This record gives sequence, C-alpha cells and structure tokens, in this order.
Amino acid sequence: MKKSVSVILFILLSLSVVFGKDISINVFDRDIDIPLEGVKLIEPKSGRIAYTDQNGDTILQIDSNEQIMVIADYVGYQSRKVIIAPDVNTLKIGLSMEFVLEGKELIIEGKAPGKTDEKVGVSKVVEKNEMKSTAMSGPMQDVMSTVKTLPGVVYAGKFSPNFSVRGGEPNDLTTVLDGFVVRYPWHWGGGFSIFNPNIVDSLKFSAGIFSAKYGPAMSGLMEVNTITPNDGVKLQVVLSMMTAEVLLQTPIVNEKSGLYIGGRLTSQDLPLLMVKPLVDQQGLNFTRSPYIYDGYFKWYIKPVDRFEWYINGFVGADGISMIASPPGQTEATHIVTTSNFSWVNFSGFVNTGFKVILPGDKVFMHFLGGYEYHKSDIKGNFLVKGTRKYSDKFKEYFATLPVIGTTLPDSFQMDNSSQFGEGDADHSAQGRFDTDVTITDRIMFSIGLGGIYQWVNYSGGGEIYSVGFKNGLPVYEPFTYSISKEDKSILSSFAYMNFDFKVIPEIFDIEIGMRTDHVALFGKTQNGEEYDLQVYPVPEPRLNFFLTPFKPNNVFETMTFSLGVGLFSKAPAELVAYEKSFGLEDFTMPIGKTLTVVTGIETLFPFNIKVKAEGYFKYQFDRFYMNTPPNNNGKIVSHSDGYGYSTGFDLSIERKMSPYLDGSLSYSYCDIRMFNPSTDGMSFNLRNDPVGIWYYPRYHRFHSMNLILNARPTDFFTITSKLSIASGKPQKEASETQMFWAYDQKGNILELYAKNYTYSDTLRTEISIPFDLKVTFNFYIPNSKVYVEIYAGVEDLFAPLYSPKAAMETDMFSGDDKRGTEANFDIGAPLPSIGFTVNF
Amino acid sequence: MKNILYMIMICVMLSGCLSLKERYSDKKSLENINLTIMSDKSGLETVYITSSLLPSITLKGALSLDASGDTILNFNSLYTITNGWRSYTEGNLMLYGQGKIKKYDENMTIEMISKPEVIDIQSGSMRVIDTYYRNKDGAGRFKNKFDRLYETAQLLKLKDGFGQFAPSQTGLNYFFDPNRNIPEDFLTHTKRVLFPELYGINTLYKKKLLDIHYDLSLLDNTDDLIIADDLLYRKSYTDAVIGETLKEVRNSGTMLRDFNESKKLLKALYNYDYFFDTFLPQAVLQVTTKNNDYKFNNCIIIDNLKK
Repeated sequence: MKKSVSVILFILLSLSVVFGKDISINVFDRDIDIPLEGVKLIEPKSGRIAYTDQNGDTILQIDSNEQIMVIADYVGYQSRKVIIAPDVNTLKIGLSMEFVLEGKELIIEGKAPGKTDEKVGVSKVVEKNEMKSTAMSGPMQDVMSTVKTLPGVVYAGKFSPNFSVRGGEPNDLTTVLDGFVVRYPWHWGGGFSIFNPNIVDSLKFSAGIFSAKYGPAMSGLMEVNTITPNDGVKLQVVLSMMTAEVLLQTPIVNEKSGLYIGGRLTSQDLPLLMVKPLVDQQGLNFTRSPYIYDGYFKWYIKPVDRFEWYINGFVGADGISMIASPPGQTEATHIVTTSNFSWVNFSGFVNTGFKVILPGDKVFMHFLGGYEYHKSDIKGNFLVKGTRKYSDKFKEYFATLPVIGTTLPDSFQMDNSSQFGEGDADHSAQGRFDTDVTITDRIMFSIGLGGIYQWVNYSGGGEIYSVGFKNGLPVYEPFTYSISKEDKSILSSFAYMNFDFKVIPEIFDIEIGMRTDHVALFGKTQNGEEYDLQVYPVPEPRLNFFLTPFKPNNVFETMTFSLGVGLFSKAPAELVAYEKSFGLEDFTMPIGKTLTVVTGIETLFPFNIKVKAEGYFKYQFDRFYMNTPPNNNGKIVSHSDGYGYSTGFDLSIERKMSPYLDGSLSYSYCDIRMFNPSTDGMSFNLRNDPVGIWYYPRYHRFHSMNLILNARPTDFFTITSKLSIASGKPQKEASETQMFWAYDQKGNILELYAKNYTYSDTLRTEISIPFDLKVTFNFYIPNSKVYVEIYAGVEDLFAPLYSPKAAMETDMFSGDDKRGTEANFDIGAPLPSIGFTVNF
Repeated sequence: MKNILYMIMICVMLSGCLSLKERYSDKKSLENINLTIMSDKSGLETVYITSSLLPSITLKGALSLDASGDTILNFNSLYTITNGWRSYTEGNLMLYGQGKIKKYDENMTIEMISKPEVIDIQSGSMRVIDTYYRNKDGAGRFKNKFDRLYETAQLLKLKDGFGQFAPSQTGLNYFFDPNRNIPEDFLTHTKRVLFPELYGINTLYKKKLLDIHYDLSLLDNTDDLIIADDLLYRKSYTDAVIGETLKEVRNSGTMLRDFNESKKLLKALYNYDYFFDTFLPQAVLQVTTKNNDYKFNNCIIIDNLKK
C-alpha cells in the first residue's frame, strides 16, 4: 500500500513538471488603477495567447516550469514584457499609456516656494553648482567669497568682514541658515565665514525689498540652505595645503532618513611656510598659525510626504597667535615695539524644526527652535624697548622749551609693556513658527511669529601706555581701563503677515506684507540692581510689484520689471554695550530704520545670458551711536538721531552653467552720506565716525566691479579667474608729522612723534585690484562613481606687485613715515593653494 | 519495471539541481569575451559576461538544465556604468534571453535560443556635476537615456558608412568616408554624423557631406537655427538626417549630452545585435588559469575568448 501511494505521488509530481501549470494574471492601468479588459497576453516560446476579461483577469497556461517571459499588449498602451519566475502562480501587470521618447530633459525640479526663487528687485539665488567657481576658488572654500562678488555688495577689502550691502552698515546684514538666524557666522573676526560650500545646497542673497517673513535685517538678508541628506551614501574628502576635510552622508535605515556629518581642519602653516621670506620681511612671526576647526551635522527624517523633521548642528573654533616686530631694527639703536597677540574664538549652534503639509495641500507649517553660543578671548601685549639717540632736530627744538633744569643726554631708553585682554560669552535661544496658506491658486497668505532671547557676559581691561597730561606736563605712562561686567539679556520678537497675489499668473505679481519687530533689554548692575529698557515696536510694511509684459520672442526669452518699497529695522549691535548709567528712559530710544525703494529690470537672452539692472534709494534714520564726551569721567552718552541716505545702481550680466564658458560681470555704484548731529564736544564718536558733519562712512566705495570667468576647453579641465576692481575707501587726512616730548615715569625725556588725523571728504585709499586664478583637472576613475578633482590656485596674484595703500602713518619713536595698508590683514604675498577632492 | 520507473522519477526530480563545474581555457582573437562563473557558498552560480564589443556593459545570468539535460544560460540582467563630462550614469536592467551551452573537448560554445531583450529597469542613478539622481528618479532618467541611446544606435545602422559592428580598437581604418578621405573610428565618425555643427557650420555647405543622400539644395535657411546648450543646431539637418523619432532629442541638445556622458554605452548598444546574432554564437571559449582573487568561494573562471 505504501509503495503504491509513493509511486502515485511521484507520478503526479513528475506530471506537473512535465506538463506545466496555470498562471493567474491581472492587468490594470498603472496610472489610474483600473482593470483593463481585452489585453492580449502572449507567451512567445509556446505561442500561447490569453485575453483579459472585464475585471482584467485571465489564466495563461504555460508548459514549462522554468522562468518564462510574457508580453502584455494593448492598443494605446505601451507593451510590457514580464518575467515569471518558476515559483510564481499569480501576477499583476500594470500598463502605462504609450510613451514618446523624451526630448529636452528637465534637470531642475520644483522646489518649495520662497526657498530658491530669485526675483528682480528682491533677491539673487546661487545654486550649489554655480558656487563652485567663486566659493571654492581660494585657499579656503567659503560661501562668503561668492556673496562678496554679487551686485549690491560693496567690496570689503582683503580679510575684511565689513562688507556693506547697498550702503548699509555691515552689521545690518542678517544671516540665516535653514531659517535659523546665525548671529556669529564668522571666523577670524570676519576674514571667513562658517559656511562651507560643500554642505550648502543654495544661497539666496536679498538686497532689495525682501518679504516681511524675513528679518530682523536692515540692509540685506543672506539665506543659506544646507543640503538634505536624502539621496544615498556620499563621501567627500578634501585635502589641500591649508585644509583637510571629510564629509559623509548616509541614509539611516532607509531613504526616508538621512544624516550628514563632517569636519574641516584649516591651518595656514604650509602656505605661510611657502611665503616665509615675505612674511619675515614684514617682521611677522606666527607662534600659532591662523587655524579654523569646524564640525557640522544634519539629521533629517521624512517618514511620510507631509512631514519632515531635521536637526542641524555646528561647532567651530578659530584663532591666531603672532609676534610682530619691525624688521631691520635692533634695541641698541632703536626703540623697538614688539607686539604679541593671541585671539581665540569658539562658536556653535544647534537647531531643530519640523515641517508639515496639512491634508488638502493648502496649509504648510514650519516650527523651528535652536540655541547658539559664541565665546571670544583676545589678549595681547606690546613691549616697547630700546635705546635711541636724540636727533639734532629734537635737541634744537628742546633747547627752545622752558623745561627748567633739564639737560639732554645723547640718548634715551625705554622699557615698558602694555597689555590688554577682553572676553565675551554670548548665548542665544530662538524660536519661530511660520505658516503658508494657499487660499486660491493665485493667492498665498503667510503668517508667523518668533523671537530671539540673548544673554551676554562681557569683560575686559588692560594697562596701555600712552601720552597724557599730569600737572600740565606731558607724561608717557600706563592708563588702566576695565570694562565693567554687567549681565545683560535682550529679547527680540517679531510677527508678520504677507500676501502674494498672482494677479495675472506669470505676468503680474504683487507681494504685500507687514512685519513688526520689538526689542527689550534687561540688565543687572554689578551691585545686583536689575533694570530694563523698553522700546516701541517698529512696524515694517513691504510692497513689491513684478511685471512680465512680453512673451518669449526672437530677441529675448523673458523680461521682468519690478518696483518695491519697504521699511526695515534692526536693533543696533552696540545695544549689548548699554548700561544703566546711560540713563535712558523706557520708550525714548527709537530703533534704527531704513526706508528703501528699489526698481529693476531683468532680461533673459538666448544662450542663457541674463542681464539685470537695479536702482535704489535708501533713507536711514534713528541711527544709534555713542560718544565719550570730555570731562565726563569717561562715561558714554548714547544717541539715536543719526540719519543719512544711500543711492546707487547695480548692473550684472551672467551666464550660468555652460559646458564651455560661463561667468558673470557685475558693477555697483553706491553713494552714501551719513550725519550724526549730536557732538557732545567731540569730533568723532566711539566708533570713530565723524559727528556734526556729513560724512562718507568708513566702508564706503563708489565703484565695485567683479568679473568671474570659468572656461572649460575640455571636459576635464577648468580655468577659473576672478578679478575685482574697487575704488578706495574714505581716508582720514593726516597732518604733517609732529615732534613732541614727554616725561616717562622715571623723569626721562622722550622724543616722540605723532600725526593728527581729521576727516576728509575727498581723500581715498588706493584702488583695490585682487585677482584670483585657479586651474582644475577633474575625472572619474574609469567605470566607477569616484570623482577626483585636482586643483592649483593662487589668491591675490598681484600682491607682490601692488597692494593698495591707506593713510600715511608714523612711527611714534622714530618719526618714520610709511603708508598703511588698506587690507584688514596683509602679508604682502599671494596665497597659494594646491589640493584635491575625492568624492562619490 | 519498478526499478526503471524509479530511475525515471529520480532523474526528473533531480532535474533542477545540477550546476556547471568544468574549466575551459582561452584562445586569441581581435575582439574578446570574458565569461566568468562565480559560485557562492551555497553553490549558487552566477555568470558574468563582458566583451570588448560591449564596452561599459556587464551581462549577468544564471545556469540551469533543460529537460534534455543541456546547460542553459539564462540572461537575467544587464549592468552598465559610464562616465563623461563630469557625470556618471549607472543602471541595472532586467533581461530575458537564453543560450544553450555546448561543450566539446576543452572548449565551450553558446548557441543562442533567444536574444536577451530588455524587460524592465531594476535600478538606475546618475550624477551631473553635483546633482544626484537616485532611487525612482534616477531609475527613470537612466531608462530614458538608455532608450534614447538605443534608438540612436539603430538610427546609425541605417546610415552609409556604418558597418555591421563597431570594432573596439580605435584608430583602425574602419570608417572610411569617401567624401572626407580620412579614416576614423566609430565614435569620432558618429559625432561627425550626429553633430556636424561641432565641426563648423560650413561643413553643411560643402558637397563633401556626411550623408551622401542629403541634397543641399533642400536646405532651408529660414528659421533653421535652434540654440540648445551652447550649440546652434540646423533643424533642416535634423529633419533630413536624424528623423522624426529623435528629432526633439537632437534639437534640444539632449542627444549631445547623452553622447558626451555615455558614448561607450552607445557603442555597446550599436554592437548589441551583432554580438548576440553573430559574434557570441561563433565564439569558442576556453578556460584560462587566472588568479583566484574573487570575493566568492569555489570560483571557476572562464575568460579571454580569443579566436
């Protein structure tokens, strides 16, 4: 019996192998998910055919138990071939409508509104690929290198943070990273920013009438959008003379969650070694070469299409330590000033937020909160030491002075040391909530609110040798100062609403909004007495019109006109220096404002050439400044009655992302005049700006031009050149060098020199002509996804031949005159960079 | 009788379990094929085929036995990766096709039962400068590019001067254009045919034309130029030489971009039919002794087919 059953089973099994099986197949429309009746299914090998019924079902009998192919064919639909594995008995096949070979492939996808949209009269967007030439051309890759070449940005000078946007104070610019206001975006006091272009997806620079959604900002807004780690594993390694960098991006669990984490170490050891002879010539000795250490991370989760959560973090440190002494001088015959200086900064922030699209796709919400910390310590000392013979001229001069009982020896000696140290720790916490509501397909309404709470500790002091008067006689002696430590906190809050009307879609747009900013200061004196200072909220209306009246034609593709007006405000940075002793009452201090009008025209020509022209007028008022009146026991007096105007125009021609040649040419003209009415018996205020007269601010330049060219003669070779030409900044008028005498603490007579400086409306520093050059070789390792770039470049190629000079300066002890340098920091040599990047 | 039945049943039962375990040596040829059989720990064997006629492509298949005991090579996927113009293009396509492996002495031949056809896309990704296309988007873009290149390859086969296949070695006197009297290789000649504008617009005004059937007097100069990606294309040339199917692909600049980024894949697709219709069936494979430095265990390597 058992044997018979076994035999029967084996036979049945064999028969099934030999004689095939039935496959149940269901065919449906892939796009609208409905069953398809009458679909022809063919198994080519056997020639068997079956047709689907009204439910899209059919049974196809196949002979083989191997893997086979079945073709589904239906009129008006793309035929589809499907492999059926041996173990499959049921199958669903989806068909799509007949396809047409794609022509122009669209590379740019639709992005969230407001994030990357560029508008004439409002903003300029620079995408990641476009940033490569400007942000990555120097020895230090920095997004600010791109910003500094944009129209509307007045050339700041080498290593200078003080770039002005259309005549506004440098501090009037606000920087935002993924919606989070970054209050300290700089390294080396402004020489470079913290924004590494390798983690930046796009940059939006707004110098016009930007939306009420954004602020507080007065002259401009810079929005940095970081990359979203949602497209797989990527690794980048950068190694150059100055920098070692690693950036890793990886999904976590699946593509719905991703993380990038990276770090960058920068040190000028090697470049400074290469230009050591030039550095030595200037008497500089870096005991700690300028360095920057940065770390970043971002974690991103999008579990469903309607919800996204992220957390961003950054930590950075930078510093420098150096000794400077004039070359070619010895203490035996000169009074030598040796400066020893060190500066260390630490900063970091973390922010988190989530974005939600509510069902119905009409409402979008974004919540954000974060914390930022910045600490800075600077200290230095100046050693003045040596012996110097009195000059004949000084002896003649001294003989005429009624200084009784003093006979000059042949020489005098000096040996004293000044020192100073300052430090601050600045914390801030911020949060905001934004909502965009699509009321109709032509009207978008936005509303939001938020605030930043900042608390600072600042202290400092020192002992500095300088010339003062004692009993009517000039004395060279130490002057001790200390900055009183008062804990302070500032709460800045805002609310806004904004309407975006597409009156005639793609032809006529109106944007109108209202923003209100408020600031309140809270402090505690060293005696423990608490105080606060309240100001009135500032209403800031904004209005923009955009008109694109012409259709694409043979001459140009698009032409857009814009006109906008808006009021902007921002609490002055000096507010942290406010003390109870200033004596201000609540609601008596207005916050500085700027009324701005901008008009523009933008035209897109064939070959992707864009030409833009914008003109503007800004009226600045309620500007804050501080004086230190004489005979006031060193107390500071503050005012908010400063005012002025800036006007000018920006022109630009650009061509983006061509396989062969692209770049941009921009020119900005800017005229700025400011006035600080309250003099308090002074000629200059605490910031060294003139009072009582109209003046050009220290950062003003009439003309700034930038030319950037990227040439790609082959697909593996790129030459990038960047040339800037900028007219000079205001230069104080220096008097003739004056010789004078003073006692030192031991009663010795010192031969000293000085110049007096007065404001000049006409004197300017020399023009600046920095020229950067970079050549890059790039290739893929064959048959792989590993991309390699090898580059060599030089920044400020003309430095050995030409370096713009500023006002004449004089050595206090020798009377030797020399022209100061216009740059914030200058070693008189071009900065080379060689490196490579590997990524996949 | 019972014993015979048992034996028949056992043979049928065991029909799905046999694997290829023999070695072969190579011979010399102008073009080559590398056929590698990899076997993992579980004994699962995978066949990889590359060839100088199919640059940038790796064919993958599995071995099985048919009812008559012959070894069947089931082609199941095609992998490709190409680089060019600061980009890469990578993709995996599902194939369906079969070949019968025949062994004699120390050699092996493959008789094609059905030429591998592309069934569907499994995955794809692209990178252009710093823009990445992955997952669904990458797969879609890769498939579109693959289809365009395939159609372009079929178009070239209809043009004068293009032979049955494109040899792998460059510099050969293969394409001899009587109008130009200069020999050039497949890719150079293809670039000249598809994008004469790159060689100077005046090329079209001379009778030394690429397509000898193209009549210059038919050239319509009015509204004839179109700009795409820094190049001026002549629409009349597109209409006459390229044809309707690929007209927009060329006039939009996409065809040039595809060529620059994936020219090796274009060449492989041009040779695809010849490879399976003529070359592979005529090839005689022999095993060579090679370094066993593969990741999998128990490898049996057959490579370097040389005629």
